[in-house]
Amino acid sequence: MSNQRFILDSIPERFVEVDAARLLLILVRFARQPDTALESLQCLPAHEIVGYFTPEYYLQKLDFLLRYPGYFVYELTELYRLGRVGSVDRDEITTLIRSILLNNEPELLTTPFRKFWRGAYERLDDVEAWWYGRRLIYTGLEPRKGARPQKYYFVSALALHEADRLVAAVDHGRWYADRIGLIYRFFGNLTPAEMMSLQYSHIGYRQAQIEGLIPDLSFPEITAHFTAVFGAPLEFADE
Amino acid sequence: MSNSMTQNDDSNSDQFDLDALVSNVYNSFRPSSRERISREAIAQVVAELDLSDQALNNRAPRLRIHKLHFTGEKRLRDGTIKPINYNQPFAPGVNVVLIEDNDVGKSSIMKTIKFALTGDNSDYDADVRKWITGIWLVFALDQRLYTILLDMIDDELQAVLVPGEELRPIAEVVEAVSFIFSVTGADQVKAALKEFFFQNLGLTALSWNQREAGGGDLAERSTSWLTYFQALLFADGGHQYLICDAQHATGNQDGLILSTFLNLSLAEPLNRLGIESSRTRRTMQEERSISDQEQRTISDKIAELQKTSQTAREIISVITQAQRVRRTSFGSSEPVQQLTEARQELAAKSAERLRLEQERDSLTGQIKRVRSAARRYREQAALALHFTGLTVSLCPNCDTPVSTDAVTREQSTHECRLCGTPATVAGEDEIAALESVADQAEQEVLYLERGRTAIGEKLAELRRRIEALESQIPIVEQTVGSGIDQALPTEEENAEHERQLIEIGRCQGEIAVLQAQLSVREPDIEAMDSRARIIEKVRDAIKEEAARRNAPRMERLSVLTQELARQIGAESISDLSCTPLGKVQMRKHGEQVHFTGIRNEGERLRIKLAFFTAMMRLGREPGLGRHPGFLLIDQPGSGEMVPDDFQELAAIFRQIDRNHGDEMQIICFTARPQFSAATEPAKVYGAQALPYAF
Repeated sequence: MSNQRFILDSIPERFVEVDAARLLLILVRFARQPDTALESLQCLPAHEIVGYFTPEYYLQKLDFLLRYPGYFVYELTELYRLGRVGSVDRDEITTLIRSILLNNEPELLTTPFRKFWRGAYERLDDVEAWWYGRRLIYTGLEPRKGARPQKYYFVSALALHEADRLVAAVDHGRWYADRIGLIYRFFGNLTPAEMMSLQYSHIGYRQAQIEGLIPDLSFPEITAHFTAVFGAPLEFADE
Repeated sequence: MSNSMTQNDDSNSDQFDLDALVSNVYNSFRPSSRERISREAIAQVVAELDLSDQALNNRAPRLRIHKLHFTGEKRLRDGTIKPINYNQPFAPGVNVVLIEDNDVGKSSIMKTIKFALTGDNSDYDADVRKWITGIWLVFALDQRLYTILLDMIDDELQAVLVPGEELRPIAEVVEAVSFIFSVTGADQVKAALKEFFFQNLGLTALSWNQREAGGGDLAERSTSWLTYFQALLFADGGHQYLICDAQHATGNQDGLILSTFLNLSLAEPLNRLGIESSRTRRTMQEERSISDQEQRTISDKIAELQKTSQTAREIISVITQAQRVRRTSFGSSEPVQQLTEARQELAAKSAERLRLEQERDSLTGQIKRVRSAARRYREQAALALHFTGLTVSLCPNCDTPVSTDAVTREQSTHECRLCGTPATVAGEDEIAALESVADQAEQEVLYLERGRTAIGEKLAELRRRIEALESQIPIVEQTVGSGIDQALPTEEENAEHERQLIEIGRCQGEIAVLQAQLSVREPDIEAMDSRARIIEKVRDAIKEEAARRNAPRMERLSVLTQELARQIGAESISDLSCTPLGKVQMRKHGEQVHFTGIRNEGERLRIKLAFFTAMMRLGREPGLGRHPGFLLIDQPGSGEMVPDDFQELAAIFRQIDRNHGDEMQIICFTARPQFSAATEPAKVYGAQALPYAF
């Protein structure tokens, strides 16, 4: 049962289950295997874990790509231009991009993200509590000398199980899992800082108001970038 | 036509009542034709004719050869040169030059006589023409004696005609004797002899139309003395035609010859009318073909000129249109204002486009948000159900497991299992509410999308208008920048305009001329047709009168012919007459036949001999004929193959000589010994330079 309550004529902007499910899938996909780096952590939970993820802003950046298909397409094009897509075939990428745009995902599947000091950022306290109480993801803050504490997310075996169950049972879950998989494939080798740098390269992203919604990229911007990089026109359903 | 057209005067010569002739001709036309054929036009045709028929009572003098003398040098095949000195007197009646061999000069003697009388030596063999250099022919017209002297001096022919008999050399005669004419040159000799015999025999030149060689223009030819001489000559093989051989049968020459020698009435006006009718019809035909061809050519030219003119007009139109566009763009006089207005409109439209684009983008953002919210609601509804079995079992704050007592308490007292505060449970109603809100959101999305589509259509229209303004403004700017000169016609335009105007003028002028030609053509042909029809009607009327006048003559001719035909064994001919135009009509056993339709050559010869003899005899009778009673026959009966037939033919000539020898002179040239019986022995002449004739 949800801890979140709402009155029928007052619908909240965010739903903790929605965010919790989506971010759970990101953490499950991107979590690292427990390694020797964990042994020295003070915030390591007493519960059994199967993986960990850090830092928090990396999770936010990954969530941003998931919630802005337009940016996903643009950044993927940019990665190709930078030669950061490895051995992926050019035609596979262009086909993927065309498919995303032909399905009008930027218009249909964009979930606005609010901006904070470091770009796309939304408070996850309720989500973290929701995870913790259900023994899915344990959140820990590791103190650092002269710096803000670094947040760690520790993934339980139950989280893996719930992630699989979510993908199998819910359509949204499947779509999120597929897109997270693509993000992991193309962007997984980027550092969190590189991820942030990519997103900050956009003027609309940079100039968005604090706590304001980050504007999406326009179709002309996306198509012009595509044509410039791939040397071919990008035709899709007009807005 | 009736006798009312003629009037008899004291001299018993028929004269035409011209008014009656005109009236009769006019009335012979159909009423519809009389609308375009006037009496005056008929009178004009009649007035141009000589209907006096004055020659009716004249009788042609009798032509008789008294003596032939010619000299020269003969160059034989073996190269020997022999002098020629031929002297032969001739008598009235039938004369026979009989030399029983061919190619000995008999025909040359005949051709020499013909040469002396006509000036034509084309019949000569080329060698004979060179041999004979001096000719003296003594002949008589009735009782008047003449001598024609011909001499070839330095390859030039000289001829002198003197009265009486004169056998001295020509040079001497010219000096000593008064001559009738003395001419030099072949054409001059022919002309002089023609004039002499035309005048003395009362011959007139009748005409015919003949097309020039190679299908050229139509030319009018006249009967010459040589033409008429065909009725005085039976050439070798002459039994194949009545008067003219095939070469000379054109233009009804035989009809013209007979018209003269049979003294047919009104022959001259009939001939004149026939000529003019024939010429007019031919001219009409040519004019029509020319007219049709010319019309087509003219029409084609007119069409071409009209096309050229149209092209010029189109060029002018293009120039004018371009100038109009410039003037329009320049405005009636305010190009700057026009530019300002265009710019203002462009600015307004651009601003509006910007606003609409922003509104569209805003709507897009709104659509995205609402759609996103709807999706979240759906997701929440789905996830709320999904996570139903996933309960809180650990306190996020203190990391303390939740006890079963706390869970029981929460279920019974609705106190939070973690912190004990009152907790409410979201039930299935909330899920339904979420679904409902999602539906509402999606409806809102549809509404917003409709609005965005409308904005899109407005934007498309704005875009088109802005593009039009953006293309128009530079033109106007250029016009303003160039000043008024831009709107005025350029020098090149003026020059081109003028050039095309001149071209149009030229074309119009030529078209007018050509159209005038077209309109003038038709009336000419119509006028020609009217005149031709008048001529033919007048001719028919005159022919009818001529037939009436010729009737006694023709009756006499028929009698004479049949009489001789009986004598010479050509009784099959039952009737023979001649039309007013000189066409011989004969009946054989009552059936009308043509001379060349008689297949038997011997019969043809007899009929021709009978006809010519009758014609010569007719000439001796006042007012009935004009033949001078002279005939040359070369190789008579050459078609006869059997000696008995030659004998029979000779007997015929003998008969003629006996019965009509004082009326005519016939000179035969033959190799057939049977012809020695054709006349008296004294009038049978042999070779004078054996074995040659001369």
